[in-house]
Amino acid sequence: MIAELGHFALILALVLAVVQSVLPFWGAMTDDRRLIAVAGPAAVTQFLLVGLSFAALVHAYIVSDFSVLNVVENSHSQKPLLYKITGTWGNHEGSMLLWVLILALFGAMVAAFGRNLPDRLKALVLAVQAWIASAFLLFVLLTSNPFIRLNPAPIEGNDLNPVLQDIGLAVHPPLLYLGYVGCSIAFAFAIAALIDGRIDAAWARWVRPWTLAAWMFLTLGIAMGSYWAYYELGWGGFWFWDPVENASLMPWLAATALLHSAIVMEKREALKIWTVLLAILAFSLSLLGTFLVRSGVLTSVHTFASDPTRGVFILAILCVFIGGGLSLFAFRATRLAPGGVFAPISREGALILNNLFLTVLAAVVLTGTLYPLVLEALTGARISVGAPFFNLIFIPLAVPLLIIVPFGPMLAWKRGDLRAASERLFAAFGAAILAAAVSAWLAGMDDVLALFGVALAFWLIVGALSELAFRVKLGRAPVAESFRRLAGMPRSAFGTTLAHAGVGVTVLGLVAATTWASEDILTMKAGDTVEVASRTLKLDGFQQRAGPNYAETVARFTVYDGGAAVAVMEPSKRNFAARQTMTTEAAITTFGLSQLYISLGDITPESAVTVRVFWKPLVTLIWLGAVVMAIGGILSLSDRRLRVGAPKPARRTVAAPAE
Amino acid sequence: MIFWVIMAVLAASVSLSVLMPLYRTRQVERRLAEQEMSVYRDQLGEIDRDVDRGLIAGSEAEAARNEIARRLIKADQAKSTDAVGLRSERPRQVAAVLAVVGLPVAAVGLYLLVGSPGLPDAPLAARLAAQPEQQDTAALIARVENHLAANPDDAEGWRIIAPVYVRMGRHDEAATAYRHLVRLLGSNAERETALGEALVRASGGSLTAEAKEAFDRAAALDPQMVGPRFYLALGLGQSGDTEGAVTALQSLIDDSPPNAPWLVSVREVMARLESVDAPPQPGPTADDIEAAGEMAADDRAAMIEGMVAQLASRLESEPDDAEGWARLVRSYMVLGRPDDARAALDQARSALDGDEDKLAMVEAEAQASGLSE
Repeated sequence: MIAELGHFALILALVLAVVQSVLPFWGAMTDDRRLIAVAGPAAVTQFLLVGLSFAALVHAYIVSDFSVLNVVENSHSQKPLLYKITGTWGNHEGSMLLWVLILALFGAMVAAFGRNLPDRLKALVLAVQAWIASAFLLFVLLTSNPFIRLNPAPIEGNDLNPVLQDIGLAVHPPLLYLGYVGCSIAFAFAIAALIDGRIDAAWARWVRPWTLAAWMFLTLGIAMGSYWAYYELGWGGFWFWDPVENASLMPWLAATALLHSAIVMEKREALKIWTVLLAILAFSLSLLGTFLVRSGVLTSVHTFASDPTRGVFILAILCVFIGGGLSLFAFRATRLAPGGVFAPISREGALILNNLFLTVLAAVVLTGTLYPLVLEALTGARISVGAPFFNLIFIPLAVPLLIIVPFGPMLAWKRGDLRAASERLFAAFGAAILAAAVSAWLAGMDDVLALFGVALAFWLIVGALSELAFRVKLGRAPVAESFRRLAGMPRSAFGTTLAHAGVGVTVLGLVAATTWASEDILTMKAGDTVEVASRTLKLDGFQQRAGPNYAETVARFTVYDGGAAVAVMEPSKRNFAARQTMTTEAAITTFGLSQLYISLGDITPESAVTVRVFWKPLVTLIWLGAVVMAIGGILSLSDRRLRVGAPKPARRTVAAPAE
Repeated sequence: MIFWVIMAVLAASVSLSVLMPLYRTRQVERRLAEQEMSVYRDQLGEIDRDVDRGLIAGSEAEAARNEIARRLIKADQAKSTDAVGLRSERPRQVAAVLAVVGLPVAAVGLYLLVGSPGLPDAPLAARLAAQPEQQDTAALIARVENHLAANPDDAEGWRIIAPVYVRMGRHDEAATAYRHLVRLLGSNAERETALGEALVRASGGSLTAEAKEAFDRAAALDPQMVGPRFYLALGLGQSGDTEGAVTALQSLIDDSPPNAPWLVSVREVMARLESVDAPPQPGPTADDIEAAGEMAADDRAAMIEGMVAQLASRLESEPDDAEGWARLVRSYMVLGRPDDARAALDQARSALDGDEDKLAMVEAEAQASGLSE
């Protein structure tokens, strides 16, 4: 009965979403306040309904109710409770339901926290949100219904793909979906503004926090996915330029640009068109990602099941929302009154440059991701656009952007002084040169590009801190005065600093882990040792163990540093009986910021095993950087103040150009 | 019944959530422009606070205030044009009907279409705890399995479940069950044979090392037993010792009573082994393709393609086989690959250049199979 109630709640949610798509929109068009008032309660009720439905599905997973087809296909009674729960969204149907749940959650949050939002705008936003919800609820019910029942019920399920039986599944998809779906709010705001024909600081004041939240979740979700792939797939790689990874990177790039635009928009009423366009693009790219992953166009660990009708359905959703959004933009964007004026060399100007770079980067990723698909569709040729393409195009385009990042916050609003900004960045420049010199001394001059990468990383980190130092007048005022100023700084200022420094931290991790990593592939027997990064690794022996739903062969290694045992590492190979699948569980030990990574290959009958031993210097910085960025986001988000960008007054006493 | 009550309550509360705001909202409240202006007023307050904290200088604050004041005035002007007229009752009535009638009817209708009304939940724990006579076979097996997972030393349990696994085609699990039986009750010819058979079936018919060991043990315990002798002979054949296999099978036939039920299979295997030495068929014949007609479509295509590929590669090394070329051309035409047929014909022409008779034969075949020039 619970399963059926979940099903009914989902259908009610669809019908309510249709009502929510129509009434508030009608109200906003005719200025009928009673119809407008329906939006908020409907959004909250819709969330409750989808939540009820989701809870019913989770319940079916927990009690192993094999009369639900989705549970049979993706669960197993012997699976640990955590993976029973996470398995709910470790499959196509369940993950789409999670997608819709998060969509409804965001809608309800707009309704609940949007008290200061102009009612009309709120109604339009929630109506647009309900269009998206209707489309996806219909998609779930018609092509991906998780509540299909079986009678009689089988006694055991097919189990979840063992690769997904990991704590990563509990965290990665929800985070990523929060990010993807968060972009839908910005999209809904943009569409509402285009329909309404007006856009102002109040609008941006509302878009910024949602974008920021979505961006934070995307950042964390991508980092989490990267770390998961790193430790679970056993290749020691953290980014493969896999189309599915690209599908998450594209919205991130667009959302990063959108975030910056929205801040300009709120503070200065400039970059209106940019902001609206980026809001549409960010969500379009999120949808595209969903399409690529869910339609079965791409095959990867993310593609749970492919079914052509699903692909066609998502493609239709994609066309309606992206095509509709962009056409609306084309027709209505000119009606948005242009906002604040500014000189080319100014904070606004720098942010336009930033937007340009990020958009081009997203376009590069889009090309690299779609080109093979288009080519295959047209000529049938299968090609793979991999790391070489992206390294050749993406990195050279990203580097100039990273170089100008520290300049942005140093420039004043409206009109900036490039020379003054450069002077303030002397310390960062010095730090970058010093860092490059130190790494040359440590690692040699073999890889000049890597030295440049290290310099770039420190330029970003110290550059971000310099901005803070400048604002508290460090060194130009008494220390006590600087401290007083530091204490008085708004949290959003720390947010900027941390987010920019986080980029530097990630860059440092990427450069170090790709350049100075070592990889040994060797065959070892019990008692054999190998030297890795001035440590000794000894294979003690093998051991058989039984897990809850698998049997594993564990190889036990001891790590010696200068004769003393410092760590025990136990990589293993697991055999999952239900799916007859082997997985490789890597063992990872962190030394400082670097990691030792062991992954097992085949075990021969003579008890010898192929071992891959990686030494990954500073690799943790890649993900720590993302965490630092996200903390920056949280700080900025917690700063509930409005954002005002004080313009730099013109030197002459003549009035500034009229708005 | 209770299910329908809960459904009705759910649907009613959803209708209510639409209905309430419709009838509780008064028409004229704060105007839009006023809400927008409040943002600018808040921004002005923000500037004062920033000045107090010393974050921005006085001149900058003044410039910012001027800007915001300009926007405030603009919003205020918009306000006067943003008039709100009287509304008719019509939209509200339409919306109410939609909420009270349309919404529940659509939801229940859709549910009856895609749902399974009245189908109870079936949590596994409850199914396993039910009385044995109410349980389906699957649940009974699961119960024995759970019991054995907890008590792997219960020979009786393994003895019950092993043949069930065999019947269900779960040969891997059957093999595990027989392994446990050998471990718990000791080795005897029957158990070892059963284990070996399960292993052979699990591996799709080939005699794995573990299966061979099991049969060896069984044969050592009872040299006359039919099963081990048959499978060990099969293993010889699979490892390439056709002669040894045939000899072993012949002696099995000699030792068996003339009407023994296994003789059919034994003779079949023997016939297959003996035909291995015969020269392989050069390419698919009409008979082959007809025989393939009885296979599944995929297997058939694979078989024919394989034979054609084999023929083509043989002709690479023996290019003067005119009959082979003729057959290849015909095969390609039968498979609906005229381009390949034409290419094969060209190859044949260059390979058989100078031998008019042979070439004429290939040309004639090409004509006959419809490869027009």
